[in-house]
Amino acid sequence: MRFAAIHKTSSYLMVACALIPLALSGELPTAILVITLLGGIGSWFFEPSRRQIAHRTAWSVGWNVALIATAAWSVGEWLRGEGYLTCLAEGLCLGLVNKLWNRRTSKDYLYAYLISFFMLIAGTMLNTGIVYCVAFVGYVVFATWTLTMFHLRREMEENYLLKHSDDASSERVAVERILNSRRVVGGSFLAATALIAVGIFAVSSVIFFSIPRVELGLMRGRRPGQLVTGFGDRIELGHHGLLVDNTQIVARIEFPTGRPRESLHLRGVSFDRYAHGSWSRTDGVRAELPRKLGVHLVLPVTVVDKGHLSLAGTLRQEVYLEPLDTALLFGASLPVAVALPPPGGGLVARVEGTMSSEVYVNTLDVAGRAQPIASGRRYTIYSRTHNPPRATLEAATDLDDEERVALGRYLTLPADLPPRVTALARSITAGATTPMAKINAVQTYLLHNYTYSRQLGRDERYEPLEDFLFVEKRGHCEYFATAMAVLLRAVGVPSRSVNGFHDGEWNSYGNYLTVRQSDAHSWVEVWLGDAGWVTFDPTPSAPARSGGPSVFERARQLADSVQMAWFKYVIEWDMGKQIDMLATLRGWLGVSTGGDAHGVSWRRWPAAHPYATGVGAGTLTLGGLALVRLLLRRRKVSRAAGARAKAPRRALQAIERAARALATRGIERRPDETWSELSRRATAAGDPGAVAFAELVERYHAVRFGGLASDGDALTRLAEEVIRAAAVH
Amino acid sequence: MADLIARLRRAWRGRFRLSVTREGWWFIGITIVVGLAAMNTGNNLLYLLFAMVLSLVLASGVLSNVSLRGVSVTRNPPLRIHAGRPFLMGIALRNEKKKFPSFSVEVEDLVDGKPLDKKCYFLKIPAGRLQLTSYRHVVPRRGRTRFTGFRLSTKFPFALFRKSCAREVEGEVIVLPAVRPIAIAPPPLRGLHGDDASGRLGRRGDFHGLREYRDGDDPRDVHWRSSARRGRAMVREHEEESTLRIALYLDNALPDGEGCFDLALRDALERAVSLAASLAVHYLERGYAVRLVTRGSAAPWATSTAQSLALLRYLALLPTVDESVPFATAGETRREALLVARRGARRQGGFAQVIEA
Repeated sequence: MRFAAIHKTSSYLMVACALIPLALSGELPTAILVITLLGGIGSWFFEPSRRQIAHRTAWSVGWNVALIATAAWSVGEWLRGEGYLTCLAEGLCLGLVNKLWNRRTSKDYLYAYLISFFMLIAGTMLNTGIVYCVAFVGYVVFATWTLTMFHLRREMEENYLLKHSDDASSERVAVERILNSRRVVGGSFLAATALIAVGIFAVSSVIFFSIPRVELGLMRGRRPGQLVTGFGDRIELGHHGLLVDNTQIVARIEFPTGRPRESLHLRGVSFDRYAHGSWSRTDGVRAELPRKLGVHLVLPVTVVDKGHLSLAGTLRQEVYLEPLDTALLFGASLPVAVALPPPGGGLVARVEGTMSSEVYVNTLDVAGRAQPIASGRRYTIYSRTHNPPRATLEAATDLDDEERVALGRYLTLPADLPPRVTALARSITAGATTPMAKINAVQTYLLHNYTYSRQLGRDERYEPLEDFLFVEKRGHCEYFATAMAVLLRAVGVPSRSVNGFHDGEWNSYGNYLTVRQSDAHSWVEVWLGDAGWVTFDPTPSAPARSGGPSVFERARQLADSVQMAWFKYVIEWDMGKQIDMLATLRGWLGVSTGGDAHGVSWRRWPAAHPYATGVGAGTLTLGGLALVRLLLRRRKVSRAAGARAKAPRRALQAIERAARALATRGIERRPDETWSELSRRATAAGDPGAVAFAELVERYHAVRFGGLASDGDALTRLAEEVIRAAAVH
Repeated sequence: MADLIARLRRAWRGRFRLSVTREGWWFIGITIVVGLAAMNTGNNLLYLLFAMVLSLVLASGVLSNVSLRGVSVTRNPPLRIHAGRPFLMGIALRNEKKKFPSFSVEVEDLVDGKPLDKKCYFLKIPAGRLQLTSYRHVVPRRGRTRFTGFRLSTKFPFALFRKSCAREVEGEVIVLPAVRPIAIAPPPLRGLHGDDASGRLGRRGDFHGLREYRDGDDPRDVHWRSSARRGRAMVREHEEESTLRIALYLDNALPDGEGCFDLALRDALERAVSLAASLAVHYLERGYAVRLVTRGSAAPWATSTAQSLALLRYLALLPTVDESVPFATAGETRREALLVARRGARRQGGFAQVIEA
């Protein structure tokens, strides 16, 4: 392939990699996107250097006017309230089209590269998904090719001059021939450059993970915000079907202590008020959660031991929440404490909770305005996932008057609830004397007499719950949860419906749980005295699918694990993780600086790891010896090279000294006389130093023209012999 | 440790020198801006970009090293270099690496440690290959010119930095005086024509004797039997049948000899040397035997254009002497010779013809 063609191809690929994140960000107007794509593709077929039209003044004037108009339009958009980043990206796209249609010289290419780099910068804020990762990798590879070839191209243009003309001015050689050469770069060049790109990428990764994360938050102005709506605090029975088939990922959850054995109910929000088939929340007071030792306490944690909260027995979850229109944080039921990294950029996170254990977080700017987080959230949540012992549950008694007042809203039934619902509750729990017995009776009844279905018929003559209990007798989780909560309330057991997510898909590649919209679920929490709110799930399980995940699902898991890694290790990489990484490294070595019970001190490490110590010491010794040998060899080579370089000078000095001595004896070297001629003349004249001088000349010739190293002392000795010869004789 | 670092730094500086190109300064500026933006916003993707541009800087340093490493350079001067006349200096660059080619290498020749204004550019030198090019140069003055080495530099791969290193390759060329065409040369005052043996040496006359071979001698004159007997090349000498000869006297004196720093006087003397060289070549080309006599020394007779190089070398290395130094003894009287002197030189008596340069 011709050099010019390869350069052009790699340049376009590099630019495309910069454009992709912007194009897929959804932030660019369609018109700009279409203009950029069509303009870019069209420019590929237009060679400005060969087209006459591109050399006309009108052409450049036209493009300059278009450029100014573009800039003015972008500024106008910004003044009208469009985000400055979007305006900047629009301007960059149109500027890029301009440069691609006017790439006559290497400078035009350079401007196109510069624009592409700024587009990549804009992409860091407009598109942080896995697309950016792919585009970035491509950009590194193509930029390495492109910049290398760009340099060679410019060197060709600047250096291939006809310098040997008689007159002083040099003439340019047409570089077309060289640019069209197939011998300058080829497959091996591209392969080697791609390898270099891999190296660049590897070094970039090392630097990226090593740079201490600092965030100054200077000059932060107002960001164009969107209103953040909370998670839906009102659900309608019969409108749940849309979520079932929605595979959009909501969250990815890692469990540092290992995959939990029990199925998890990821709690979002609870509802206390039921009426006409709808659940809603009584407007409760949200209060900022108390913060203690880096975590916000959702439930009271009383044990504080030596500066560490005692969260023993709780399940720790590292949650990577995708961008959602909610301020809710999800976590396994029931959440105990939550920890959030600071949102950065001068923003603050306000963590609030309610009496019913919901956790809300809002990211606020300096003025207290809520700000969206485009890249989602990362947080750590601790949950108490185990229900209290059965004895505790069964020991719960009916409410006394005080409790009945306090938990009144969880006992309230709608006034127009069909009487046969209440009658059904009583009939189911007939004979049950304790709350737990009533719960078991209701749950068993629902599980045995109703079936799970996504296809729900609806008889509008009945209230939705009545329709489910007495007519349809099938439904999805919200019907079951509603039925259980209402039936328990009807027999005096406080209960509430909870919305969240149930389980998810375990990703065996990344060892985390992927939670999708299709995992949305409803269940029930029941108040059981000393045991507090206890989770019960009356929804029958969907029939288990036989066999493992399909190939498609495996591929999807693999792709998702890549995305998770991108989010976890790139987007959310922070100083805390850097410290964790160091701690992990230290853990691999089994070293702790303090020498506590779990590790050993540095001093005791060799004794504790004799094998590793031996291998390490051997490797270090061998490496050190190899290094010393290499250094000595290089030094020897360097000295030899230095001696070779100095040898002619030394020989010349010696022979000149001897010649001066001969001159004092009347045998002066003539300007046109060689050393050999002078030597023969000295011999003919019978000079006493002639023999020594002849040998000196021979040695000089050997050093000067034979490239041989010479013994400096021998040369000096011969010169001295020539000088002293007259005195001796 | 500090000592080791200092030694390493000195060793590194001794091998390579680094300078930043204009694009490099822009690149550094952008790098700083991206780094500051990353630190200000905490945006990890900006940190990623920052890491990438830093990696490009590192890669640039490594690849430029690879490009310059294992490259040897030699120069091939032409046979004759005249002062003030352009010549082509041949430069040969060899890539001694076994696998890696070198890209975009510039070579500058160093005279007394300073680079010449001309550069040689090599786009690509494949592994193990030799490439030749040349640069055009003009040396203004005659004499010895000592080349001390080369400076190799490259901006490969991204043109962000120029890395250079020195190669010590010494060489010396003798720059001959400028030779200009002579339109009208004064005829020699004395000339012997016909078959008279003049005692001067010629090409096809009677056998005169044997002497050792000198540069410029006709190989046909080598007397092989004598050469074999004596173990060195001997040539026959003949008495010239038709003798056209001229002795050129050149006044190479300046008021204080080598200590004269009057540039005007020196330039005038150089013009005189150039004129003498031009006349010598002119007469040699027309079949004259030419002898050069200067203050303090004299060159042997040159009888053919092939021997003009010896005369020109003599003039190239001719030193400036004090005015007290007399002309070297020559076989000719001054009345038969032609004196070339700088304008304004003290008049020398006895010469029938004097040309001032």
